[in-house]
Amino acid sequence: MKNIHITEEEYQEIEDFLSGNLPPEKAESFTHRVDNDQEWREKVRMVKLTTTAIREKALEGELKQIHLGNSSKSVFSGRKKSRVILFTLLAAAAIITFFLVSPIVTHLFISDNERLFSQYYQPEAGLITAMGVSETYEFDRGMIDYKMGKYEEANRRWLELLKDHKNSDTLNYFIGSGYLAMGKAAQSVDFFKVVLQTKESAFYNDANWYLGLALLDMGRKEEAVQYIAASDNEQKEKLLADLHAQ
Amino acid sequence: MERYVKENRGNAVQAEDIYQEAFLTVWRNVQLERFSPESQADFSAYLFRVCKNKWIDVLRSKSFKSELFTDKELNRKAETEYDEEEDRLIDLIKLHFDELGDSCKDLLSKFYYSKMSMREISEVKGWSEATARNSKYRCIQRLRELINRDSQ
Repeated sequence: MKNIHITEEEYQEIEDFLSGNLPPEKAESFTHRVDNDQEWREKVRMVKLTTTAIREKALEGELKQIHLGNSSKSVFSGRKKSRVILFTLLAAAAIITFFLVSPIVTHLFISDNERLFSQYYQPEAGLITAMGVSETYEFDRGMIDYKMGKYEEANRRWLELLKDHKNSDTLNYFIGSGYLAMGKAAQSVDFFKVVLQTKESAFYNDANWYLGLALLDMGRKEEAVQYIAASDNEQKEKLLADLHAQ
Repeated sequence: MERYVKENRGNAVQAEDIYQEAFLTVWRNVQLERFSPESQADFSAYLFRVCKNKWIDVLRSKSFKSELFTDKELNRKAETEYDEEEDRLIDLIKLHFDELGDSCKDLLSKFYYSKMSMREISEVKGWSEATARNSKYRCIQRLRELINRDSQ
């Protein structure tokens, strides 16, 4: 390894670029620098190889554990069974790895509906919390969890509150949003439907949009179209056109 | 793959080892964009090709030297993608990774392999996010020092 110094900031920038997290304008100047600055190119290469080596080392360790774990399982399992399990796991790992690292192949494994869901879904941003001392405290506390991405904890708090406020459009809307953010589209459906029983609700339009997306993710395209069309989301015409083109 | 190895003077256990080794090679080549599969069939064919190459290497090794090659195909290795200098460096990094302390190994594995965010890691470790970031950088620096020392 060539003894080149990479500062913490440089390391962060390179990792952001390699993981696709650099904003487009910065990514462009980054690429320009890679093309024109040999030392920078070498730094990028070092970061990439180091990342690959660490990942590979961890993967290797996991494969070894599978191997050893099954070999010593029981006298009846035998070497052959262990081998079958190992082969199955490796094949599964191969497919998963392949799936994760190759965007081209993602298209072969994900349905059109799921792809559109991923393309259009942005988690509900949440409300500003005041953290008052009244009965809204628990709701606000849940909102802080929600905004930190702790959707399970947020929903646990809100589901408790829901017991005494079954028809609250706010609670139902955010519990549904929490489930959707957790990737549990099917569990979000009923909560959004409660919100839609109140046309005056401030969340009426957004509930239509997210319910449509949840149904889309579940493969229920016809129903999804109805709710998406009923929303006022700025992306709705584009999504409807994409759905129509399928 | 198992059938191929068995048909060519190997056994099931050897097939298993070859498969594991080949899988890691393919994984590395995909990570470094040396090989970009366009379909699942493409991927499977490549994996099989790497397995075959590795088995041919075994057959050409000392333990099989006394045996006569009759299969023409065994004398012909399929082309796969390698970069000797890069591969050597990756192997060196992996070797020195073991010399890091448990805390560093755990932190780096969580970030690079388990894909945990710095925020998630800081929560698990009870650190601030800034401490987690700084620790990660220091662990990488330590790893680089070990490699540089070895290269001198």
